[in-house]
Order: sequence, then C-alpha cells, then structure tokens
Amino acid sequence: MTVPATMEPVLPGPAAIATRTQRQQIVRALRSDRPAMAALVVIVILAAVAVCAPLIAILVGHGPNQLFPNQLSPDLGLPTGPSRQFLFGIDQEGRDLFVRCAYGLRTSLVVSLLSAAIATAVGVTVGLAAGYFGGWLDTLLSRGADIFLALPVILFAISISSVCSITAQGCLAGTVQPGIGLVVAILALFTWPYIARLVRGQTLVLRQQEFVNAARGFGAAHWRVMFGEILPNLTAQVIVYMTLIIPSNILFEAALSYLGVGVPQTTPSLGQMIADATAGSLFTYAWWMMLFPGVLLLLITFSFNLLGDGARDAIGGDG
Amino acid sequence: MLVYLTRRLFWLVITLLVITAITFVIYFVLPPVSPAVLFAGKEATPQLVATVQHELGLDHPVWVQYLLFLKHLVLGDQFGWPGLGFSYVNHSSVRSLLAGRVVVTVVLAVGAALLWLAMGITIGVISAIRQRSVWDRLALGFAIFFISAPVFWLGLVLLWVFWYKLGVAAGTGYFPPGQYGLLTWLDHMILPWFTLALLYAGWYARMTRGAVLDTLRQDYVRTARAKGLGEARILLRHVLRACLTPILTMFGMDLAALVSGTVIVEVVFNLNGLGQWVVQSVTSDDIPSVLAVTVLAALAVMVANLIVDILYAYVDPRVRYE
Repeated sequence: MTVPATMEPVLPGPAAIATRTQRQQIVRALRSDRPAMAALVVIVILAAVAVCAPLIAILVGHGPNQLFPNQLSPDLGLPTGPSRQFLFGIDQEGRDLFVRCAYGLRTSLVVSLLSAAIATAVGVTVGLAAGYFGGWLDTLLSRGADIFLALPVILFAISISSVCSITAQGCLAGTVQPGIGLVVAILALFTWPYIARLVRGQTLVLRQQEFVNAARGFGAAHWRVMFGEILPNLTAQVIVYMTLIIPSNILFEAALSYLGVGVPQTTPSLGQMIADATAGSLFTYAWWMMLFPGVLLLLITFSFNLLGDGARDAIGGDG
Repeated sequence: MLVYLTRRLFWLVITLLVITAITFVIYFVLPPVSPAVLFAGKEATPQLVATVQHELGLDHPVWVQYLLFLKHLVLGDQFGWPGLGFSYVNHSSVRSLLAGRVVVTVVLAVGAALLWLAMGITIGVISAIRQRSVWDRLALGFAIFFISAPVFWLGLVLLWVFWYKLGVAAGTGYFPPGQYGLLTWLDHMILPWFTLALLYAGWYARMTRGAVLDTLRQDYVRTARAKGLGEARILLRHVLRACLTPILTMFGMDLAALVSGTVIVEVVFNLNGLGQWVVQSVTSDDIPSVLAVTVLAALAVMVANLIVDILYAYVDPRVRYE
C-alpha cells in the first residue's frame, strides 16, 4: 500500500503532464535558452531608449538636428570625439551623435516593425488563400510571389524611392509621398512573399486535417475556417518568421538611407550616420562617427536574430 | 530533361516580361514629371520639351512605349545589341557606358561567391563533425554575427582596421590587372571580396552543418563505414555529395540578394561597377541608366537561376521527374 504513494511524486501521472499546453512548452523552452533571453533583454533596453529618445534629448539638452558649430575643432572645422557633454562625440556638422543615435534607433524600429507587420498581414492573407483554395488562384499567387523573390530588390527599392522623391508631391498623383511611409511600403512590398510562401506550405498540410472538415461540416464560411481554424495553428511559426524579418528590414532601411534614398535627410537614421562617416573618408579620423551608429545597428539586428533563432528552436521548426 | 528545360525557359520569358513591365511602370507611369522634362534639363522651353517628348517616343501611349522598349531590348537599337536607350545625363548610349563596368561587378560577385562557398562549407563541415564542441559554438556565433552585420559598416570597419590602422591591405578603388598588374588588382579586391563573402558565409555554414548532420545519420553512411572506408573518404564522396543539393538551391535563391550586396560594396569601396553607377544615376535622375541595369540584373539573376536548376537536375535526378 505504501509503495504507490512513494512512487507518485517521482513519476507524475498522465494528468500532470497534460496540463502543460503547447504555448507553455514553447515559453519554457525559450526561457531556458540563455542567449535568446539575453537578446530579449537587449531588445527591451534598446526599444526603451528609442521610445525615450525625446526625453533623452531634453535631459541632455541637445536636439537631434541642433547644430553646435563651436564644438568643431577651431582650426579645420573637424568633428570632435566623445566628451562629457557629448557622450558619442559630434558629427561633421556639429550635431550630438548620442541624441541622434537614440533617434536613429527609433527610426530603425518604427520602420522595421511597421513594415514587418504589414508584410505579415499581406503574406498571411495571400498564403492562406493560395493554400486553402488551391487551383488557379494558388498558381497565380505563388507565381507572383516567385517573381517578387527573383527581383533584384535593392535596385527596385532605389528606383521607386528616387522616382517618388523627384518632387514633393510624390507618386501616383500624390498617393505615395516621399518619407518614412514610402520606405515602409517598399520594405513591406518586398518581404510579404516570404511569409506567404511559409503560410501557403503549412496551409496545404492543415486543410487536409479532420478539424477543417468538421468546421466546414458545421457550416463555417471559408474565411472563418481560414482565419479561425487554420491560422491559430500557424501563429507560432508566423511570429518566429516575423522576428527574423525585423532585423533584415532594419538592415535594409539602413542600407537605403546609407545610399541616400531612404528616410528623408531631416530624420536621423543610423544608416545615414554611417554614410556621413564614409563621406571623404572622415571615418579614418572621426572613428566615433563610424563606431557608435554601427555598433547599435549590429547590436539590435544581432539580438533579433538570436531571439528569432531561439524561438525557432523552441517551436521545433527548421524553416 | 527536355520538357523540364522548356518549362523553365517558358517561365524565364514570362518572368522577364513581368519584371520589365514593373520596371517600366516605375519609371514612366509613377513619376509626377515627364521623363522628357528631365532629359531636356532645368531651363527647357515648352517647345524643347515637346521635341524631346517626340524624339523619345513619349507622345505614344504607355503600352506602345513598352513594346518599343521590348523591341529595342531584344532586337537592338541604333547603338547595337542589346538596345538600352541613351543616358539623360551625358546623352550617350547606355550600352557603351555599361560595357566596362560589367567586368568590375562580375569580378566582385564571382570572387566573393567562391570565397563564401569555401568558407561556409568548410566551417559547416567542421562544426558538424565536431558537434557541440567549442568550435561548433564559435562557428554558430560567427554565423549569426555576420548575418546581422550591416554590410556597408562591415566594409568600413575592415577598411579602418586593415588599411588605415595596420596598413596590410590597399585602400579603395578598382585597379584593372591589365593596367596595374595582378598584385595591385588583388590587393584592392581582397577587402571587397571578404566583406561580401562574410555576409553570406554564415548562412552557408549553418546550412552545411545541418545538411551534413542529417546525412551522417543515413544508412548508406553506416554501410560505407562498415565497409571500412576512411572518414575522410566518406565525408568527401558520400556525405558532401548529398549535401550539394540544398547548398545549390540556396545558392540559386541568393543570387538576387547578391545584387544588393554588390551595389553596397561597390559604393563603400569605390569600385566603378554597375552598382556604383546605378546609385550615381539615381541621384541624377538618369532613368534609362537605372532601367538598363535593373533589367540586366534581373536577367542575370534568372539566367543564373536557370543554370542552377539545370545543375540541380544533374546532381539530383529526382528533380527531373517532378
């Protein structure tokens, strides 16, 4: 009689195991992944800096575009390095790099999060429709996505961005305005196919399952089956993929701004700051102009990639 | 095989048509000002603009312009084949402007591709056979680090360290081997090659690692071991050969992305290739030049993809019958 009682705590019954849902399992796996958790902490800190950028500007007392020409070296007018007043030094025009970096981080995050969200919404809808309905719709949508994936993205991005910035009224009779919105639209335009491809593949498998037939049998409408029955099974994978799209969009925005066709000149961007450091090989002298924006950019993308990687391992996927 | 090839070629033509159409829309439908205004310059009279409009064929409906553009592309124009029109900025044939620059871009891309394949596959194999060792962890960290690094910043940092501080590599600029000798050329290409290669090597290392680990578990590898074959031979002849398919697939998909990398590396290292020229043309609103490079890049990516697909069918016979 005493034997089963002592056995019980050592071997929990089936009920004890079953109480852990899939979501709990994923969270648990992710929590034990130390690099991913460290990355999450870094992301939260950097996001806080980005959100508080105006507050930082007030505390430091320097605006992001405010000029301090008297801080440039008196003889040659060169930027000066980090000091107590200017933590990250100043750039070639005499602006505070510390404040600009905080604002640049804000630009990076706003652009990448918005574009990733739009791309995910479009990609999920297209992928679900293609996978669920199949037939000619699937052929059309999949081939369309294939073509997008074969495009030399940067050339198109440069082209659209520059064409729509020739005059202030933008493109298509003013519907597309130059600025941050345009960069977000371009990034979303070129990333949705990745999500669509992933979702389509999974939907093809899921629509064969019994619960889909059951839902249809109960008279559920197609859109209800797609978004109510199939989509919840894909949430984890879509979130993981989104986490991996964010850093690549951060890099893409930085690259566009580096080339001078990204966000407008008045918006501080990390890519643009690195371009400032490149101009006239200024970086050989003013190393701080190259170091701080670059390290921040690397830190944020590296953290997102680590987190995304950990999340992918946690859900046990390999795509 | 023939059916497979025909189908692939058919898709290539369709894709190219769609891409040229999109490009055309970007340049001739989206902009708020007529390309003729750009061509004629800032202080043009309305008469001059009208003349230019007529000469460029811009007074035709858009679809006629598109067909003319396609006709010139396929059959050539007054400047020879392929007909790419003429630059709005220096008013000469785009084709002649392109010719010398293609070489620089191809040299950069091919060199970097060879380097990243070599680095990626080597690192991937090492971390697979030494799974969970310090090397494996280091290699994975290396992979994510370089995947995350902004390529233009990486280029600057490499320049700062190896050219400015250590003085072991040459600075920026392209120095053709015929004119300056092989060594000077190599010296100036090493940093650009490495910058571009490091960006992609990480992906290949991870990919190769996974593929090698999967293959090592296969029955035929055990059979080969049971036959008494050496580990080196098993790795080279049995395992790596099976891993070629996924690596090749990834390579084909990365070619489009390679274009982006090349554009940026050319700008950072001041190499006068197509990418640098596109960026210059964009800032001076030279539409035909950007259009030409975009179409050429798309074509190059698709032809390269086709070659990869043919190789794919050759390496993995199952593909042909799908």
